[in-house]
Amino acid sequence: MKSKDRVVIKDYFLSVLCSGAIAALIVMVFIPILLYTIGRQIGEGIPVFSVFFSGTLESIAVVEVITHIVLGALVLQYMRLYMFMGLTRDRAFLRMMLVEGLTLILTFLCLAVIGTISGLIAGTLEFSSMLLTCLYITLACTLMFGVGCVSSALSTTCRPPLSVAVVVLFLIFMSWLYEKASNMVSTNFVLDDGLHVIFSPTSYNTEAIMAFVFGVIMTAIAYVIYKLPISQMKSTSIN
Amino acid sequence: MSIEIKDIKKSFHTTKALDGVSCSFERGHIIGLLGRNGAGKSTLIKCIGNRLYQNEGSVLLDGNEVRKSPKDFERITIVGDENMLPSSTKLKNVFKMMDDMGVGSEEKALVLSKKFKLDVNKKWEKLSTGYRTIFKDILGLASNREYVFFDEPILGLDANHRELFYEELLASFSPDRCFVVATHLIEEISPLVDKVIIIDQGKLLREGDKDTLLCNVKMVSGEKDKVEKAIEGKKILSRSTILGQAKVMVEGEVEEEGVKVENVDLQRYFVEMTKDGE
Repeated sequence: MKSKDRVVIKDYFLSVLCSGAIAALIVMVFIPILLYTIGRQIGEGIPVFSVFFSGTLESIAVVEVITHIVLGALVLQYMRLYMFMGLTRDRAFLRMMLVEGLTLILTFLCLAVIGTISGLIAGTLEFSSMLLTCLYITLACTLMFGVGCVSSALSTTCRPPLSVAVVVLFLIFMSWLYEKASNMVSTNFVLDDGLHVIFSPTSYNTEAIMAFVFGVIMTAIAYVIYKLPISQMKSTSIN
Repeated sequence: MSIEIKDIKKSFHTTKALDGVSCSFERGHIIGLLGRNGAGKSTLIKCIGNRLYQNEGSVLLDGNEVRKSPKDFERITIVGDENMLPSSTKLKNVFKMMDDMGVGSEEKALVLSKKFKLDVNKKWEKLSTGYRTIFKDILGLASNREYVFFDEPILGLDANHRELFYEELLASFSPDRCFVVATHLIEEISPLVDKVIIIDQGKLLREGDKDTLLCNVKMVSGEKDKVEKAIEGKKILSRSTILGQAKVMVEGEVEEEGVKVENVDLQRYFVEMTKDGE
C-alpha cells in the first residue's frame, strides 16, 4: 500500500481496532467478571468461568458492524480531504473504497483473533466454523458500510430535513428490495451426479452473500450520486 | 498557461450564483478575486475545485477540462472557506499527508506553523476560528502547486497574523505560479495583487491588470454643472449627487477646470462599481 493513504488508513484502522477492543473488553472481561462475582455473592454455583465466552464473537460483531456504518458516513469528509490533496471526485471516492477494502480485511482478522481467543477459553473452538462466521460478519459490515456511504452521498444532494427524508425513504426502499431479493434466491440446483445444492434465504451463507451484493450496489449508487450535477461537496462553513 | 473560465453558469434553485462568467487566471500573477457578499466568488472557486458542478460552461487548464483531467486537477490547490477536514484529524497528520501526496512540503508547513504559533498536535475541531483560517492558509502557502486559490484567507485573523500572511504569500510566490485571493479586505490586499477580477451579482464586472485599470479611472467632484461639463463624452462608471454637488467616476483623462480630479484606489473603484442600483 502506498504511503499516500497512511493518514486515512490509520484513522479507519484505529476505528475498527478501538471499537473491537472496547467491545471485547466489555464482553470478555467486564461482563464475565461481573456475572461471576454476582453469582458467587448470591450463592449460585457458577461452575466454570468459560461459559461466559460462548457467543462473545457475535456480540463484538454487532459493534464492528455499527462501526462500519459510521465509516461509511465518514467517506464524504475524507473525500474532501483527498480532494484538497488534488484528487478529482472520482479518484477521491475510489481511494476511499480502497481504504475501506483494507479495513474490511482488518475487520475479518480482528474478528478471527477474538473468535480464536473466546473459542479457546470457552473450549468450543472449531476453526472452519469460526472463520466462516467471521466472513459472514465481514460481509454484513459491507452492507452497513454501503448504508453509511449512500447516506452521506445523498446528503450532498439536498439539505436537512429533506436530505434526512430522502435517506430514510431510500433505506426503506432498499430494505424492501433486500427482502424481495432474499425470497427470490431460494434455488435448488441439481448437479450431474444427482447432488442437490439448495440456496435458501434461511441459510446464513446466502444472506451473507446478499448482504455483500447489496453493500456493493449501495456503494455503486453512492458513486453515481456523487457524479450528479446537483451533488455539492460543500460542508459547514468554518464558522 | 492559464485556467480559463468559459461562460460558467451555476444556479441554486431560483438563485443565479454565477451567470455566464468568463475570465482567466494566468501564471505569474497574484490575482484579487473581488466581489461583495454573495457575488459568486466562492461559488466560482468551488466550481474550479470540483466541489460544485456548474450547470453550464467549462473550466479549462491549458485547454483541458479540469473536471475530466485528473493530471490537470493536481496542478490546483483550493483553500476554500469550508471545513474540509475530518474533525478528529490532527493537524500534523494533514501536513504529513500533504507531503506524502506531493501537494506540498511538510517541512515548510511546520516552519509556518511555528511562525503563526499554531499547535500542530491539536485536532481541527479544537481550533478557534482564527486558527482554522491560519491552518488553511498554511496549507495553501506550503502547497507546491501552480495554481493556489485562497478563499477568504484573512477571515478572523488579527492584524499581526494578516501581516504575516501577506509576507508569506509574497515569499511563496514565483513567476511560474498563480495565486488567487478572494477577499473583502480590498485595501489590505491591494498592494499585493497585480490583476483584479471583479464579480457582482454572479456576473463579471471587470477583469484586468490593476494598474492599467486604475490609471485610466478618475473621480471628478464639484459643482454639478461644472462636473457635467468636465466629463462630457467620457464613460461614466458611477455617479452620485447631493445638494448640487456631484461626484462622478469616469474612464479617461479629465481636465481640472473648476472641478476636483482625483486618482482612484482599488477599494474606491470597487465600492463605486458595485454600489447598489448602479
